Amino acid sequence: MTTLTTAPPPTASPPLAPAPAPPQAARPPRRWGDLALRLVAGLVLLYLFIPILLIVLFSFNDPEGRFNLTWQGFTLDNWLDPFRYEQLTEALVTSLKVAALSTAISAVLGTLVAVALVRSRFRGSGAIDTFLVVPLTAPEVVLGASLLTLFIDLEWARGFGTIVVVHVMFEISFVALTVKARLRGFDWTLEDAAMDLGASPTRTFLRITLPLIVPGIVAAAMLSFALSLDDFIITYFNSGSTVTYPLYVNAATRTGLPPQINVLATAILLVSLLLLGASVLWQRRRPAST
Amino acid sequence: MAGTATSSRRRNPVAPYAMVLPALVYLGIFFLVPLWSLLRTSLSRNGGSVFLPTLEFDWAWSNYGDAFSDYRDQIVRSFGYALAATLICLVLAYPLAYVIAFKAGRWRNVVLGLVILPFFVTFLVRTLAWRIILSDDGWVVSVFDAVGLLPDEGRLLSTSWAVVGGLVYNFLPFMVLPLYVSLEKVDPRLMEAAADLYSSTWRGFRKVVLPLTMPGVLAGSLLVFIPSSGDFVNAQYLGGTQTTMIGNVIERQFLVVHDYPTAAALSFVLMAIILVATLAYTRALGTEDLV
Amino acid sequence: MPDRPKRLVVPSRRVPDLSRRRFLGRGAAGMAAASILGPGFLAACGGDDDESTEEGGGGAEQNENALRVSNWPFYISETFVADFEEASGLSVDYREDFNDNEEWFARVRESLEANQDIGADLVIPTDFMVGRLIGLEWLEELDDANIPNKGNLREDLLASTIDDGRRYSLPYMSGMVGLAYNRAATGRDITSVEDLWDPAFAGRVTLFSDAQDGLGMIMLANGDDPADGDIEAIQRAADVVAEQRDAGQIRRFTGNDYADDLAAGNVVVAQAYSGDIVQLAADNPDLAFVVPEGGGTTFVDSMIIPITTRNKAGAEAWMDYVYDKANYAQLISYIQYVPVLSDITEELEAIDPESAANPLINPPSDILDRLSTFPAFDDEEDAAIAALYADVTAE
Repeated sequence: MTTLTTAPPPTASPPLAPAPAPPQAARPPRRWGDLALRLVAGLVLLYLFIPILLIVLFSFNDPEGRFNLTWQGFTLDNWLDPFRYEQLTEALVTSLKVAALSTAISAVLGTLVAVALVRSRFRGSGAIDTFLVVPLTAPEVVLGASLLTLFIDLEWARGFGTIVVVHVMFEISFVALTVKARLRGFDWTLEDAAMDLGASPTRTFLRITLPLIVPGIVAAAMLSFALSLDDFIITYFNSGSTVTYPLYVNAATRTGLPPQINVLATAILLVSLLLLGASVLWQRRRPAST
Repeated sequence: MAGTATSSRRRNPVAPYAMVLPALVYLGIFFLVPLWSLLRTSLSRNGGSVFLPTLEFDWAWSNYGDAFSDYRDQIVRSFGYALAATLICLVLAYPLAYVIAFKAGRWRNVVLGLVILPFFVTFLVRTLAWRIILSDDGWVVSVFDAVGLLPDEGRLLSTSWAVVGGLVYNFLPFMVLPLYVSLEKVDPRLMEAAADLYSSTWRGFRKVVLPLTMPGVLAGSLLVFIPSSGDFVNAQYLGGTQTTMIGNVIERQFLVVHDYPTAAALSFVLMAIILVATLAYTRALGTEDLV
Repeated sequence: MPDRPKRLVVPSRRVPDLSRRRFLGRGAAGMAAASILGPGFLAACGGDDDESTEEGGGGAEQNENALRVSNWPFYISETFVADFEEASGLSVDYREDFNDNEEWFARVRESLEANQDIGADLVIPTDFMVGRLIGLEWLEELDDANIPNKGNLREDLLASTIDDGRRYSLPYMSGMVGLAYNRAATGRDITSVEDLWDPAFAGRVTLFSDAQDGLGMIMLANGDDPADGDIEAIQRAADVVAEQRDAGQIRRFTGNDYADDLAAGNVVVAQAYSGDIVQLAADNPDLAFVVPEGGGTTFVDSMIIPITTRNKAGAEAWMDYVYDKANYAQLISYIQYVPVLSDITEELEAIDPESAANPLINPPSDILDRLSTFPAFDDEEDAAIAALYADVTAE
């Protein structure tokens, strides 16, 4: 940032200053509209959390049997012994690792594809565009089984590695589509300007383009992470003896889901909330950036 | 498209190919190869024993015909549910994405995170929670009943409403995020201009903001519609006896009946229909290429 | 049960490679992919796999000090594994990853066919699956000399139509398939399959989506015995279900997930497993379980050793440990299903008198007499049965 030694520049007036004194009638509807909008948004967000609230509540439940389905009474016991079921905790940790790793990989691969497709029209880009959608359309059962056949033929042991591999496979399309939505309408001449000023294409990409599309990548990464955490059937076929969280929970329905599942879920939610909140505070300290 | 400033500069022609190559190779190995094997299975007949099938490749196109005619009801039903879910998601997600993009300020990442957070609790746990909330004797059902909104069966669970509701709930973030991503890019000054130019905010929205966010609408719609069509878990846990989707049929044919050719053929029928629908939708929205 | 000729079709050992279906064969794509991203690349990433298939083929690498067990979740008492490790000196990798019989089969089928490790030395599937595995010759024959406690097994389970003399499997736990109901909601006691069709319960009844569990009691109500293995009788039962489904009597077809509907009162009569009701009734005393008048079926989950095992002796040691009456009583006390060992009442009373007195855990002989099971079916019959019931449940 260059510091000016001369007098500070005159404050720029907003480019589209509203015409002086618009008719008063135009104002109130906008305000009400604004309020209604926020209300609807809030309700939708609340809707997303309705079952979560129940899950948190039931983490304090005190059932006699192994099913946690009806409210029996309040207890802190579950919270005092959250890691009681070793396999459950292990499965959760495994899932988090798989999600983090696969998201990292698919974010890179997917973003590269998205940028390449939007930025320039090259031979085959149309076909690739269409092709990216196809993995989304394939039913999980058969895809999972076919992947297993592939691994067996290649004699790859099924386990953590293969789980990550298959997760990346279905995440790439999600990432690409999401980032492309961000890239539509991107002003590529910005890159030209940077390169005119002497920056190499790579540097341009990393310093100019990438920061501007980061919201898209972050959103895509969040989607991938969520997808990975929740995937069941493709993972099931290709996990060998590694147990992920959804695999464990699904199997547990036969004999009952203990409150510890609720406890761990709530704990993860709390930790995530704290991290999100912390990121906001951290952002505050940095100088204001777009 | 408005606002697209394409690069006029001559760039390294190899660059785009180099950038797409990793993903393409990856998908080539881990998607196309299994898909090819699936295709061959779909055109085979089940010889040998059921559990150790010697699938004899036979150009058995009849597998496709049979699959389509036997399960036409389920196919139609699946797309009906998926379409309903997509539309509902769009209506619900847009306001939320809008508020996150323009009204949330520095909290936007937090709210975005909140949208994803429910996924940290696995599908089954969320769904079982919904089953407790929507139980026949619960107050939700009572409210619906009082308002006269209950489906024919007189309950919410084990109906098609519950299945669509489940699809909406589970895929909502997939609509919110692309919409947000697309909205966030819209210059707020454009919206002010629209507000000034048009007598009602709704028209301003429809004429200015919505077209600008079409890529987001398209991406979100695809990310909801496509997986919903092939979904089977929602129907399994929230559905009744008349709500079977094509995903359930495929799963059953594959796992229980061990009829791999039919399962494979059905899969391709599903995929083909989705692709056609997707292409039509994209064309209708007026974007040049797929997204 | 009467002596029946075995009806297992035993396919000859498959000739590897040539006759199996292959997509491109181990052809260009496979080789290319393998060379680009060999197994080593991903083995480096992974931490948890203990399987390596570099050796592939028949001679599985043996590991005498470790045992890998694959079981259903919450199907073992909390200190059992640790106690076994201490007693045997083996280190046990106990995994609760057994989710569903057919899903598990779909997952391991090709591995077993190719003689590749499946990640477990001992697995506990349900008996119908055991029958199938025996027919496919994918199980190790048990060495009785290593399992002296085998004598503790119930007589009726020893002479099994699935595995006569239990040469390839040993039962682990059994349970009854019957009807669960909410006494407060029904207003009366439920006693027979006919009660499922009571119009007063329209839309509040659930049946199993699994063919054997769902149709067994209905066949018995029709006067047919599942043990005869008569497909026409199965079809008759399926027709009854289809009729009731069309009439709107059945709310849905369930897997293991009927418990919450029952607990919430959405369903008043459900086909259920005995052990679940023991758990549910603890929280809701209105819930009861009954084996229908016409009869019900049992399921048995059995321990098997796949041919790709790396520690057969260790697996047998586990089986022997399970069959010790005192140890087994521990299992019963926690799992609360029906024991497969004969007469452990004494040991059970010593640690858990309540369970010993519970007829769902320790059923009296008149109930046991009403229970039947299906025989082993050959693969075509199995598929036919699955298909005919799938048509009913998958409308």
